[in-house]
Amino acid sequence: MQNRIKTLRKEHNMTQEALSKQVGVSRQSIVAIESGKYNPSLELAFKISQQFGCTIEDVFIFSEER
Amino acid sequence: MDVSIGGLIGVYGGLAIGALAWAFGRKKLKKERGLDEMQTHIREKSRSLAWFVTTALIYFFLTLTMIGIDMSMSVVLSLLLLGHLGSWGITAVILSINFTREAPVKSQYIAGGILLICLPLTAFTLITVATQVWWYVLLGIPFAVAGLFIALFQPKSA
Repeated sequence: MQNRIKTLRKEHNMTQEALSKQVGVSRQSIVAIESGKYNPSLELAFKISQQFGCTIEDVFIFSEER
Repeated sequence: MDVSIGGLIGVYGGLAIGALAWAFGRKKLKKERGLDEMQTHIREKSRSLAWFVTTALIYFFLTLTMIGIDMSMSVVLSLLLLGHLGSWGITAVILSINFTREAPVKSQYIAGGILLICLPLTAFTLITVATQVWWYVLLGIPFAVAGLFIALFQPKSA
């Protein structure tokens, strides 16, 4: 699963720490999600997308290649 | 019936210190919103891996019994507990660091590190069981630390 969190974060002038506070997880979780090492739950993916005013599909890109 | 006061102090003292460390760790993590879903995922994954290690240890000790090596129950239970909790903690640390490190994970270093942890510990456990000198098992610790170091701080590519 790829994602556009880093790009969207920069567009919104948001740090990893600020995003992590807003969605209620640790900064380490945001680092892991951004780098694609950890796939968030549907609930967390919704929360992250909401922070950027986007839909899940705009933030997370599903690809079958691993 | 012999009562081992030192043994009882060691077992329950260790339990009390472990419980305090666990509570302190959770309190600290909670402050940084660390008790989140990724932490739960890491904890569950490492617990699952620890049960694989424990199963392997059970087979290992059963094999030793079958080939005629006698072991006291306290030694076997202590080694099982050490193997279970140790592998639980070590895999949790490795998973936490590898999830959050920027550089890509190099699986060969993780595999090498785990081998360096498991093989000497197995060898020294065998020596301990064969000689009945309990502290020989502690000689595996430097190798385990080296294995942990290799798995966590993987050398950068040239």
